[in-house]
Amino acid sequence: MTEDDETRAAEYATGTLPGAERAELRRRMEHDPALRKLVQGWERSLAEAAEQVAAVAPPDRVWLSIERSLGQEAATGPAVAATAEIHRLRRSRLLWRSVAAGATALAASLALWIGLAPPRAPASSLVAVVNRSGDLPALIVRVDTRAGLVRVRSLSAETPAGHSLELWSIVGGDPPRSLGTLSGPSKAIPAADRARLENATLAVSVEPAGGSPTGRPTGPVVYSGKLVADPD
Amino acid sequence: MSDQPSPDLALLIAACANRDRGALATLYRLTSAKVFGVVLRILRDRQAAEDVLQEVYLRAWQNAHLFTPEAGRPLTWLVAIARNRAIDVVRNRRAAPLATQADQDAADLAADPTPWEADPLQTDRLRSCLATLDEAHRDCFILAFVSGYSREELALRFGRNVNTIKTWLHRSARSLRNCLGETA
Repeated sequence: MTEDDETRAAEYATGTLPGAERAELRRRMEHDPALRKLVQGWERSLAEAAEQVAAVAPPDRVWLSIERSLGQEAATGPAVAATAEIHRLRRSRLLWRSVAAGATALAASLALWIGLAPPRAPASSLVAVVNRSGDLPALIVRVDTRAGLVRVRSLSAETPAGHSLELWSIVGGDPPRSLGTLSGPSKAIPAADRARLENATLAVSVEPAGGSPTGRPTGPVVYSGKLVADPD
Repeated sequence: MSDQPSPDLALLIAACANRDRGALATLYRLTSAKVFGVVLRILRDRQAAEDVLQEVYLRAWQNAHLFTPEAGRPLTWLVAIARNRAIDVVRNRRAAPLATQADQDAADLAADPTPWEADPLQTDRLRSCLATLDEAHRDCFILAFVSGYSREELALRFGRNVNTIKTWLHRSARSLRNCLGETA
């Protein structure tokens, strides 16, 4: 990173980098993580000044326009994202099964769980691949809503020393509900939560050892994914 | 917003990445007034500010999967998107900002607490950091950062050449960064 880039990053964050250089820097940021980090560092440290500006309630029509635009997106594009997600799920299930075929004790127990689960009514089984965007799956979370159990299989999730990873479900704007820390093999889900989990977003946050002391997430969210009906 | 801990905003953004529109609605409800304030101060035109506000949340929706803790707190991320978009718009606009408004901004920021609100502790810290800057440098930085002035506009307003303005701005940005600290 050159001295010039440092200066440009500061000017970009201040807002005074002239148009052409501004566009150029933005283009480079897309492909240059170090440069992006440099700019974000400036944005983060000056953020406090930007966030002190007095809030002004916008008129309702702005949100209505946003909703309309999302409606158009729904008509043209988002199926792609949904399909990609299902593909990802299928892929990871294939991977999972091929591991299961490998006859390790662990894999055998997984296969048992997959193979012996009784035929299910729709949506009694939900699955989510939880990851960091672009990374390999960190966790596979399966929820058996009938039995009221959530099972978490950690593939590559890393727990920072002295902390616990805690799994949360979020539905719409409701406060996140804890599904417990990622320690034991399976957890019981409170009956009241079972019905609401389909299409819930799952998120994993870093918490003090043993889990959040407040019942709400207190640390950074490191992974997320969405619970969908098991595609089988 | 100060009663809303930021991890919740991070979860809402994660939910947006998973195409949860309810989460976007909640994110908007919790943050749009702050973001609109930021944008309005740069654009000083309600219609343009409303357009940018809409773009900010559509962009947040589209780019939610790119949000990481390294990008800063969720509000910082949204405000950065908003400031960047508002500055693009203001740079493409032909008309220069009204001089009277500029003077008003400078006076506000130098003496009057109204432009700063939210957490009084943060505000005090910011004020004390701003107070360490040379007065002209400080006003210049605030007009650039908060009100979106270009180097050229600042050169006119302060009667200096663009290179001097550039130096002032950089010095101020660096001092503020050191004073506010990385963790801000």
